[in-house]
Amino acid sequence: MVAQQPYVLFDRVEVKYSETVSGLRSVSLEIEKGDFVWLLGQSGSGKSTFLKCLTREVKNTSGSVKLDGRSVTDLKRDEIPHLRRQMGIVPQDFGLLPNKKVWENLAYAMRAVGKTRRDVRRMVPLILERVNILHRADAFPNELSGGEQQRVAIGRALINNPPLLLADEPTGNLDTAHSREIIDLLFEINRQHGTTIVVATHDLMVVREFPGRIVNMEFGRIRAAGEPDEMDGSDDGLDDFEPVQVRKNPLLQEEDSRLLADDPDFEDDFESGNRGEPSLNPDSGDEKERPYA
Amino acid sequence: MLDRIEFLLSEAITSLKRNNWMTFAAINTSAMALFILGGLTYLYVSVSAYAATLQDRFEMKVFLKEGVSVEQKQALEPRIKAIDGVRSVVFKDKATVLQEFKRDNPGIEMETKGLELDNPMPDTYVVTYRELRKADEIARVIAGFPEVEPNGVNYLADEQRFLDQSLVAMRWLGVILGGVMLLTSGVLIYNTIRLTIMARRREIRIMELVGANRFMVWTPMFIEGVIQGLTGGLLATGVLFVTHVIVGALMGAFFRGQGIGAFPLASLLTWLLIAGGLYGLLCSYLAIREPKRKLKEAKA
Repeated sequence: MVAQQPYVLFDRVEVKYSETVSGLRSVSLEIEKGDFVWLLGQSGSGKSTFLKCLTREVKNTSGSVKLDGRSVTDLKRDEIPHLRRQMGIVPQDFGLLPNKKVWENLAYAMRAVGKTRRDVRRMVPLILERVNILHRADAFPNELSGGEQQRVAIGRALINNPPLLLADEPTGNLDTAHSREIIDLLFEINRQHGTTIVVATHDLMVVREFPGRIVNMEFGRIRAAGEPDEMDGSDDGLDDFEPVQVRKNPLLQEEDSRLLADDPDFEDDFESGNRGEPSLNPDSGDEKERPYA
Repeated sequence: MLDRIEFLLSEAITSLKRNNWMTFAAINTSAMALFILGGLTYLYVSVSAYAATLQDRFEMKVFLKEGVSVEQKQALEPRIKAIDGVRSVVFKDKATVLQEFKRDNPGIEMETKGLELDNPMPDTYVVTYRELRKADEIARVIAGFPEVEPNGVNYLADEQRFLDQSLVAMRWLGVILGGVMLLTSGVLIYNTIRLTIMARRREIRIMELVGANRFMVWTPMFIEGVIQGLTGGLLATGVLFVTHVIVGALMGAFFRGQGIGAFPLASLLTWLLIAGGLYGLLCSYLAIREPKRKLKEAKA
């Protein structure tokens, strides 16, 4: 009897951006269909790289990534669009088109994947209702709150009715109340449709508040993984989840040296907790460091 | 299917509108380039055709020495015919030459009266040739035959040379001017597409995120380049047509009703549209290829 393959399988996955900078280091993880998984970690811990390996924005240097039994690593370039139609991707910055209304943002994405006008007319209201934003269908993105924009981004990720939804820091730009709303919405999608959901976040407060499997990432490795109750009291890294860990991150030492050279006061500021500028996150561009608790 | 085509076209048209001034510049420069190339080609073909009709009128007269025997004269004809570029060789004896001279110069009957008795005209071969540019070479070879009088090869050397050089100059002018304009328009189309890619980077990212295939992502840019090239071709044909009408009217006025031939509208339009469209496609391809390559390198 052949054992059933997990829905998402990472097997000793390594990603090297250069000789000295690694994104992932021997990451192995299995995710079952219908799971809700938190990828928890600080900036530079490898969460985004993990998601990018799944979407094939990044190709792993070694190891194997499989989705529903099929190798993602070995996909040819022409096959990547098909892979992406099997998943919904919610980018960190919402990625909404500012000159298009809410419904047009969804319609545009649907037309781009070959849906007909009839499909668009039928599906857009349903999706907007599903993410509770139908009442703002005619608004432009700049007229929406952060939470509403995130709902639209989630709605757009659902246009292909995907069995897998990947969200990169979906609460990163939101206040606590809106963060809860968005996570509630993701859980609702998970419960109602059995959609497998993987959320990358650094927001420990949100993770502690909601159920789901936690995968704690650090320096491109998985430090611990399990349900919250399994991780209580274990060496899961959640208790010492503090900004100071960034200082220890060997992946970022090269960047630190450069920053120290550029700004002699940086080290003093860092020790005193003044972390306003600059960003140390290689994945998130100019994103500022945020408090972790 | 129609839905997809409509989507791709609307994307291309949106981009054209978005970069309106750049589009305007690209279309106009393409039109200029195609006008110069097309116009000079048309002029070259027209003048060449006209020159071809002139060639029948251009002839070379070869005067033979006194005392050349009939056998020698007969043996000379195939030798002249064998020269490369010679179309025809016709022999005219002294009597015929004198008769024609009198016919062509009706005012000098008194001076030519009685010349039949002591005809000073030489026996002559009239030689026509296929290409103007070969006239000098043919003349040189014929002048080398012993039966031919020294300086006995007579033709309109300077006029023929001028006509031939004009055609060559026109061809080079077309190639250089048209080439420079074509290059400029190519750079403009390329830049417009690059600007489009920059302006549409959000859309491209969203398309890639939701799983749009490469055809859907990049085809609007190809369409954009082709539209620019086609519009340039269309404009160039229009300007050429107007130029043709004006030149025709001017020639009619100055040369007593003698106008120019019919404008080959259909063939010129077809060729300029094909040239413009293909050129637009090529420039778009180059513009798209570059960022895609850089994107690939960045990911690797």
